[in-house]
Amino acid sequence: MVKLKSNDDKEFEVEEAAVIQSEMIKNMIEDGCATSVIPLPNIDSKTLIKVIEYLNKHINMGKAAETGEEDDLKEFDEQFVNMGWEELFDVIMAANYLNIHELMELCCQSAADRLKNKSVRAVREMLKITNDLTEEEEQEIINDAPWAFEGPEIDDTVN
Amino acid sequence: MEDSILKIPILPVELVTEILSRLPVKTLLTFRSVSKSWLALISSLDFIKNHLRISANNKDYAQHRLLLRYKCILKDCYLRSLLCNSVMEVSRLDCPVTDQHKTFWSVVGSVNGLICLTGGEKALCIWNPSIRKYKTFPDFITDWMVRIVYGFGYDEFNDDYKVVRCAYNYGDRPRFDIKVYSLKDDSWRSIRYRPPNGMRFWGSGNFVNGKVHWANNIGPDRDKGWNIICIN
Repeated sequence: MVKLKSNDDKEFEVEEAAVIQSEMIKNMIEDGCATSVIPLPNIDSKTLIKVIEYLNKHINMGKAAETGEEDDLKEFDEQFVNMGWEELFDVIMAANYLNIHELMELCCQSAADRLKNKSVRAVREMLKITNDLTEEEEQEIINDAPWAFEGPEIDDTVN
Repeated sequence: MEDSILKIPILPVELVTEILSRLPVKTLLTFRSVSKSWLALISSLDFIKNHLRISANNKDYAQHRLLLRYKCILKDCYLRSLLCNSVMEVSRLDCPVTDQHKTFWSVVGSVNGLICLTGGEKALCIWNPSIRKYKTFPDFITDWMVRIVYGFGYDEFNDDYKVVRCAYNYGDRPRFDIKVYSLKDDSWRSIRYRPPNGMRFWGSGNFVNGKVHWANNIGPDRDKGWNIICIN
């Protein structure tokens, strides 16, 4: 078992087979730097619980194919990314910090799927981005590719 | 409302890049107008390269397209539609150049989503259908040439797209002229090459493993055998 400590001082025990999906922790274990608790100063306990949930579910990725659990895993992944932007971004940052490739891929793809075909107005509202372009600059971008701003697929809703 | 503004964590630029790199080009063209930082990011060369890398390595072939030509009409089809759907979804690719200049356009080659077209041998065009932008060249005219063939490729070493143009005749006074165009420098340069007398190139060059290859034969009689020459 490996002990992880979140930045709000909560400790979690995780099986080594699960935790080594994180390249960062795997390297620490291999270098003999993981003898006691591993502090994770960038990750809060709420996010760490989500990450551990993912790691435990994906513990035997290779075996899933043999036992026909692939669909189960796919369903888990779909449920897993069903979270708000705030939480999703926290998990992306944690996955990036811990270097968990599959989790990073899953969450970034989910974020991209949510943004695909969204209108500019909707994106700004969803991600709370302030428009700092002048009206002229904005018009220039539209004039550069007016066809891209048109089409029945463009979605102005913010969910 | 104020709370939710504070709650969305600001992602470092490399993570925003990871997310936006998975979006289709059309969406990205509009997202340039989200904010100044998104405009700078999406327009940057690093982002464009990363987007190309992710699209090219997509395991589901979500962005891979096949280019089809029937007479003068170009069509495209998503590779995924060809592999997964019972009926292939094909859409027409409207090329602004071929619509303007009514000549017989043929495809020289295609690399990384760029398509090189030639019209009636003299006209040349490099076209990016994803952003609907193109570059045309002045017609190539000499008083001596008989045939012109083109090749189109990507020079990984210099990160540059290149067109190879071979103009030649094989009459009584054979002449040969090979020039390479660099998209980065926007200029042509000559290549010194003296082919054996009477050598002919057939069709457009094929870009394989970083080099443009041509099948050619020597002499007017095709049965004498074929060679492959390559220009890198």
